[in-house]
Amino acid sequence: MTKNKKSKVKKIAEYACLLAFAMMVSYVEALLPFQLGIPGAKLGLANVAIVFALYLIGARGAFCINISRVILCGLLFGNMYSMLYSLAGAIFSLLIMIFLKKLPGFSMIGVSIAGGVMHNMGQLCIAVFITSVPVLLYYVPFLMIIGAVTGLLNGWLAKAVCDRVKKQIEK
Amino acid sequence: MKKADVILLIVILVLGMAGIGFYYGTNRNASYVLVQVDGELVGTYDLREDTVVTICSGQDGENILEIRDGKAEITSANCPNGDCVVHKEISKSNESIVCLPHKMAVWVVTELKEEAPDTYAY
Ligand SMILES: [Zn+2]
Repeated sequence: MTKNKKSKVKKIAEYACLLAFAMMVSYVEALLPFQLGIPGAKLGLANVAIVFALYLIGARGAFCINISRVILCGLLFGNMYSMLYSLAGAIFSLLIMIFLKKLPGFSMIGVSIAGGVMHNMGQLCIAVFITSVPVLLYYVPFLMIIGAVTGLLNGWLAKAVCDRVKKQIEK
Repeated sequence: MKKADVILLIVILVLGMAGIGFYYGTNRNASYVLVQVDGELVGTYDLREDTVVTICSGQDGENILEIRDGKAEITSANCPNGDCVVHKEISKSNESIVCLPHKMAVWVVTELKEEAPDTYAY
């Protein structure tokens, strides 16, 4: 009974820390002047926190944190449109990451690369859907490269965070 | 980084590069600019004629489209993210600029087709 209660408290604390972490990196990203004008092209720094969460607390937890992050960040630094838009990217990217994590052979970095690419694709899909201009599909190869590179960077950062936090937990 | 990660990265990069090669291999100098708002074509302009157009969308959405020296560009807009303004000028087929908050898209074509007659009540 006590043990159960304690683990629940621990879980709430963990979720809160991860959500705060995700929102903090989202905020940092909002401050950075990385903009190419291509729909969907983003650094996606928040994915550092989401990949980390996926490995620390699993798929369901990462999903909750990601959705909460998109809604809260949308309310704080964005608007209705940007919220829906990032929601599409977030869901696309998280689904592929959950899938890839289940496959043998992929590390956090590979998972993050796939997530980065799918994030951009999800946002481009919304862009094509909103405007119904098929010529936008020519952005696909550019978004693949941008997504892979940002995913690599984010995965590497997530791994660095994970290694450090694990050391702290083991102490 | 594991082997599968590296393979995934290489596959994505190679596919992406191939796509970009195709993109640059097939683009041609365009002659016309098409403007669409909320799924409807609202204007066509000749790339060879310098002009400045205000594209209105929604309640108070405004994007300023400038055509100069055979290139089209959004020079200013009142959308929240400003992606359309950041986007570089366009002049080749395959190129486009979008403003998602305004549901607005601008793209260039080499020739006008039936779906884009050159007379508009705009
Ligand atoms: Zn815009």
